[in-house]
Amino acid sequence: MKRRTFLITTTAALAAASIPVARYYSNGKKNYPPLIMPEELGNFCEEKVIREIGDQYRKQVPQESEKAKLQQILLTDDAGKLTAVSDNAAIAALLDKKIQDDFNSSRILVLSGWVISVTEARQCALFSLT
Amino acid sequence: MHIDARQLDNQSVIEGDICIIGAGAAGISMALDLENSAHKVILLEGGGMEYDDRVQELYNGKLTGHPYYPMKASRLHYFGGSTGHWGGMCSTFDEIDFEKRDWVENSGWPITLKDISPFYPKAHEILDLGAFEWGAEYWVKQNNALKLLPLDDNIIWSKMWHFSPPTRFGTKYKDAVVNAKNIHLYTYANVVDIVATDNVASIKQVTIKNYAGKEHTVKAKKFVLACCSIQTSRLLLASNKQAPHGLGNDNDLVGRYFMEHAELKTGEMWLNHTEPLSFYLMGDKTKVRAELAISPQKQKELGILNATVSLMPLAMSKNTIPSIKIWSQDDPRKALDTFHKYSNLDKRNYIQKLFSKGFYQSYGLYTRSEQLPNPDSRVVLSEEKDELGVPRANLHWALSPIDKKTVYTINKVLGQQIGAARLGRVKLYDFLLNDDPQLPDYTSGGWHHMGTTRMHEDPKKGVVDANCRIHGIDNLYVAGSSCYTTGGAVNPTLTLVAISLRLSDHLKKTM
Repeated sequence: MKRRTFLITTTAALAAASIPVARYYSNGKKNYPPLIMPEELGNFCEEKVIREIGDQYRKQVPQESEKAKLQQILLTDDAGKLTAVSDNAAIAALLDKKIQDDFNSSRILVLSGWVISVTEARQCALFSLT
Repeated sequence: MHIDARQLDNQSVIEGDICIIGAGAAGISMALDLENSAHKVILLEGGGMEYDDRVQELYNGKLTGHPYYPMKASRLHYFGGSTGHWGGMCSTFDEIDFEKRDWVENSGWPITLKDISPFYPKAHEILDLGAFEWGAEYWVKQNNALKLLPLDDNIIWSKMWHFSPPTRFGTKYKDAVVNAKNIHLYTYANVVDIVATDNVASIKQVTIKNYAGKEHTVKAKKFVLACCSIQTSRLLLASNKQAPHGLGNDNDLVGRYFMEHAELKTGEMWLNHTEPLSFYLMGDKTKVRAELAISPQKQKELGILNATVSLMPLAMSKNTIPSIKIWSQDDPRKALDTFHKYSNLDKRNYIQKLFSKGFYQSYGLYTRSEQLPNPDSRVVLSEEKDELGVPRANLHWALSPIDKKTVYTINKVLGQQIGAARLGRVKLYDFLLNDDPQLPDYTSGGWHHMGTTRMHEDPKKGVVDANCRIHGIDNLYVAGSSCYTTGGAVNPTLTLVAISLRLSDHLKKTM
């Protein structure tokens, strides 16, 4: 018997006895405003994990531990323009770009094990304050 | 020709040109490479043609340091050696693996990948690895169902692996060895002593013994130790009549720098959409697959070792048990029982259907990392002797903080790449986040024994030279992965066959 066959059959058999772990949290998730809920990360994490990440970020970056400061950073684009807090579509687009820029520039953090962008961490921090 | 050394008259003297000690992947590859040459090759195998527990017992020894597989079970002691139970996973070393890396203490071979590359095609053939194609793009073009992850090759690249059937040397090459006119295979021929000249400048002969109570002498012009890392260093250390500290051990290096690969589950990759990443998964009928490797530039930039990450659907990965816990049986046959316990299970298709929704949306990450060459990671002689009177080998496997740093970093970089590619997110497991500088106890090896007679041009830093000759001894060589200066990120077999073929080529040119 090949070792790789063994590995496949072993793990498959064990998996059969378990509950699927591939839970995807998008179903049934509350519809939070995009400013406080990172869209992609929110698909993978329960709210308590989002909150935990936010708590960790605020602890690591105490100068960004207040709502107003976090909102200001998150809503300001590269050119310094502030997006209106009521415009969810514009906020979603802005944050999507910021997150993409973060990953492309390696502005990433590991919080609660998740490799996330700094922008996502700030969103989580804001969520943890709600 | 095959001779059972138990049947010879006691105190027989066997003579040849090249004596190869050990008939595993390295020894058999070398012997067959010397087939039809003008040289009489004496190939010595301590065991017989089949498993013999009394012979296997000679490999027993004690373990200290990081938990490891039982000594008796981690190598097989009969014709064909450990190819009798290997898994068949093969990949090539990278250029950076041979380089002196400022951030990797004790790195730097005296040879480069270019010195090994000419021997890879033949090694590839010996191991039945199929088409000699190592570029991921080639395989993707062969099958539309295979897709490359759209990552930045300068950061994380898709490194190819080929799967051997796996080739059992003892089965496949028995007839070729036995029928070769110039190869004289002696089974039940355990080398118990290597006898050097008084000035220890060359080897005169080796002494072989077996359970039949016979003792014989083998004389040759050149001797090659091909017993893998633990037994090769054991034999050198135990051969201490002319050299009190053992042969080749003037600088206290024999047995040191034992290396393995650190292998363990390290995290999860969650995708935005279901994507069966077939190209990266291990399957029954898969002949090749890709793993996610960290680029040389990133290794240098981040000060880490070489490493790769393989993928497995998370529902399966979550339930895997660390190899070090599964393969804990002292008796290799019992280890095989564990193996066979699952052999009748063929539920893969059923399971895949069961988990079809979301099954291919989350993946477990399994990291295999090079380990730092660590002088404290070593084989030493025991005070206890085996039944043939040779001190047993004890193994102390030691890891280093950079090993954990490497495992953490490649997974973090992979997380950055997965995010940048808008594929999803990566989660690292808790042990990577704590302050312990060492990898956890359940970190497994891959049964990849490397080092102990490391290659270096300076006798004060290595046991063998660039031609695998032991420094200071003109006719004693070491074949296989014992010579590795560093271990690379991949399984050692393909490269150890290649490096052994390079040695036989050297011997042919210099005899």
